Parts: sequence; structure tokens; C-alpha cells
Amino acid sequence: MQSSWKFVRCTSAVSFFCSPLNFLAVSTALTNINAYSHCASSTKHLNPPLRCIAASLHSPLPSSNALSSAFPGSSATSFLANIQATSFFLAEKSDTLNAHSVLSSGSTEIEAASEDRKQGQNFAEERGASMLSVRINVTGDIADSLAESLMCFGASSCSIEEATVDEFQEKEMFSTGPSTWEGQTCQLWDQDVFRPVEVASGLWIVPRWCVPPDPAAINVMLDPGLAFGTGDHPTTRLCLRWLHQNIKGGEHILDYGTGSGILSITALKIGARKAAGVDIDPMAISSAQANALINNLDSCKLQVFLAASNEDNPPPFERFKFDIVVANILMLPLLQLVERITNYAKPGGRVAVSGIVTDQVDKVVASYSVHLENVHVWEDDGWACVSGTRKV
Amino acid sequence: MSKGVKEKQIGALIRLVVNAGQAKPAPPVGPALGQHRLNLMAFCKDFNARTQNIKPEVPMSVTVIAYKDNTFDFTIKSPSTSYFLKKAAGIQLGASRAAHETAGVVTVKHIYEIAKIKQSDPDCQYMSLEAICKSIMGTARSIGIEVRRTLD
Repeated sequence: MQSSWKFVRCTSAVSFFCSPLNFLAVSTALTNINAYSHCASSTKHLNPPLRCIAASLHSPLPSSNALSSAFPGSSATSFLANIQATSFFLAEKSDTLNAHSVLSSGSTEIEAASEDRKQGQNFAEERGASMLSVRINVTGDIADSLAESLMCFGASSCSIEEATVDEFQEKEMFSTGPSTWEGQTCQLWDQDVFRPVEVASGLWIVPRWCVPPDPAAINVMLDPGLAFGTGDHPTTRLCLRWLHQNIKGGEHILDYGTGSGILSITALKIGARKAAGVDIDPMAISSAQANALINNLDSCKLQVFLAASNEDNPPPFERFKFDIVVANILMLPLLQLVERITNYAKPGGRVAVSGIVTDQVDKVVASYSVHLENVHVWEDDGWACVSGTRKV
Repeated sequence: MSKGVKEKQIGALIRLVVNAGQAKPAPPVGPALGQHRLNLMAFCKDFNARTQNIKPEVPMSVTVIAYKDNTFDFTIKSPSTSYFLKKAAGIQLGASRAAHETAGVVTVKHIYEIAKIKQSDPDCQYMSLEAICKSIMGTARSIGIEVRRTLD
């Protein structure tokens, strides 16, 4: 009996109130039958399983109370009455035994969805043309007759589709142009995905909402928001390890392309005296400042500057000032800014750049060898970090 | 497939068009990938790093395979043929009534250059250069770009 599964999709044009809500599957709908007893009365003549299905069509919402509160001036009952009027199963026909037997055997699943074109309209007043559609998962040998029965009951159209177990449903998303993303409404960082990570022995990067696994180690608390730098990425790890090796204490650090501020803040925690961060993204500036506060570093320890994304208006640093310069950006900006980045380091100061893939290493090394000596390349997982000492 | 490699379960396939070097966690990339719980920042950084050798603002087509364990792989394909043709002809939009009106002109040399770029695309590897050229000429016809031997 078990042949391939098919979807039977029935639609019917309904003029009723728009609802942006999705309907429930049968299992949850069954629990709502009691709440909708006023609908059930009209379907008394149906066989029990069909009535269940009908009730599920009548009960598109978790509770009518939710509906009333969501849509003031609610016409919850009239809403349901409208659906009722178009229910597929309002007929005395009992020769829909095929459907009956299928449904009673419990081998079907039903999803009903309402597609409406106009959202957000005043629920009580407007009527918009909308399609009520139900998706029924049945075995293949029954699909044809079920489809015919549904058409008899008043469905506008019925289509049979092959059901695949993991189907990829194509959804098109169009960009409405560059828009700022309200960080508050979107949770960028899934709390499970971002976990404490030990980048070097005794150095942990811990999300703000987690407890440090090793309280004795150096723990940097971080909430990156929309800026880059959680400690996960190989380039961040490379730079952090490099900093861990090269900071002896009391240095003045420049972090070019600071992102969430992770490199500067870690450097300060390891023992640097002062840090300055530069980024072209205002989100990064606010994120770095916020993270500094979380780690109890005030603004005189970490200063962040917003740089223009073209090369004008360099940040107000003197040349040859910093002991350590670290830049984790991308190859193109690194090549464009090579002079600026290396000039900020004082003679004999250390410079490290990352954010480059191993294929791009040669170009970067060639460009930076003009200004740096003792150039060394570190690699991790396809990404690389180039470090050197500024020529005197 | 060695026995030691565990096959990862594919969660979703996402096709995006992103400007080279300009992937940001903002929409449309953000929600499209974020809803599959992927590490957005890692994707943006990776994508930007790999498209560094391409002029910015060129729309690249990316296919991201998201696995069920929240990791992902992505392949970057060359920009669309219509984009190349429009650049070559120097126009912004194709013809509104293709085959009835001509929006621009390209030469066969342009077609050849575009075909050479397309040849490195994984989907076109099995085609001969001539076949790729023919397919590009078909695209040109569909957006109202005329192909001539020389521009006089």
C-alpha cells in the first residue's frame, strides 16, 4: 500500500479577512477542536476523521483569544464563519471513502496556509482577495481520487505534487538596497554558536553571556554585535597568538581595522599600556567601545577612531609612534595602506597583518618587505598572517 | 569517499548575488544566511577575501551549502553573462523589447573575452570555447544587444 507520497494541494479563492498567520498541522489542531465547538456543529454530518480535518481548517489560529487581542475590533467568529463557508468538506457525500480511509489511518499530514497579498490591513474592515490553501500529504494510490473529491467539495483547484522528504523550497529574497540593520530586532549571534574559545594557553575569548571556563586565565569578554571578531576565525586566532607572543608589557598598540575591538582589548589585558583602534565602520566603533566597557577598560586605555573608507583624512596619529601595529583586514586595503600602516610603527616596532588567504601571501609579503625586515609568515587553515619588524 | 570522512547532512542550498568584496552582515546577505544559523561574519570575511582580486561592485553569484551542523561551504561563480554584456556595450539596462529594439552593440572580440572568463566557471568546464561563445550570443540576443564583427 505504501507507494510514493504525494502532496495534494487545494486552493480556493476566499474573500475574507487577511491573516498573516500560518495554520497548524493536524496534531496541534486536534487539541483545539473543543475551542471551536461552534464550528463543529455545522460539520456534524461528516465522518469523524473528516470533521477533524474540517475543524483544523476552521481553527487556523492557536486560540481565538490571541486573535481578538491581535486584531482589535475583532471579528474572530466572522473570520471563522467565512472559512467555514468555504470549507472543502461541507457535503454529505460519504463516497469520499477513499479520503476517509486515508485520513482515518492517520497516515496523512495536513498543512493549511493562507496566502494573502495585502498584509497589515485593518482586520475588521477590509476584505482582500485571498487564497486559502491546504497541503495534504497522502500516499500516491489515493492522491487522484482525493483530488477529485476535493474538487467536488468546492476547491478551486487541486494539484498533485511529488513530495520529497527534504525538499528545498526556493524562496526569493530581494535586496531593497543598502539598509542598516536594526541590531536589536535581529539576533545575529546565536547563543549556541558563539562559545568560549581558548586561543592560546591561558587566554580565553568568552562571550559576554557566558561564564569563563577558567577564571584564573586571562579572559576577554566579548559581545561583537554586528562587527567582526569573535575569536573563532583563523585570522583572529593568528593575530591573537602573535600578540600573546610579542607583548612584553607597557606597549602602545595600534589596531587597524578593529572590528569588535578584540585584538586591542586582548592586548590591553595581556599587558599593553595603551591601545588605539581604527575602523571605517561606525558599528565597529560602537562595538569596540562597548566591549572595552564590558572588560572594565576606560576610554583612555582604548581610543577608537572612525576613518574614511577612501584614503583621505587619516586618523590623527603621529608617525613612528606605536610599538606594535596589527591590522586584520583584507588584501586590497592592506596593499593600499602599506605605507600608512608601517609608518605608524616606530623603528624596530613590530607589525603584523592578516585577513589574507594563502594565495595572496606573496603579494602582501612583496609589498610589506619594502618597509619591514624579518618578515615571517604564519598560516592557519588556509589563512595567513605576515609579520615583521619595521626597518630602522 | 574514504570511510573516515563523515558525510555531512545538507540543511539548505542558498543562492546569493553579492557585490565582490562587499559582503556585510546586513540584508540581504544577513537574513538569508542568518536564518540557517550560519556564522555570518565568517562568510563575509571569507567571501571578501576571496574576491579581492575582482573589482568591487561586480555582482558575483555565490552558492552556499549550509549543513545541518551549522557549518557551510560556498562556491563563487563568475558574474552573470548579462552583466558582462551590459558592461561591454556600455549600457545600464537591457532592451525593454528585445529583438524589436537594440539597446547596445558588442563585437565578437568582446564575446571571445567574456567566453574566456566564463570558461573558468565550474558549470562551463565541459563546453568548448565555441559553444560558450554561442551561448553568450544567445544571451545577447535576449537582452537586445547586437553582435557585430567590428564597431564602425
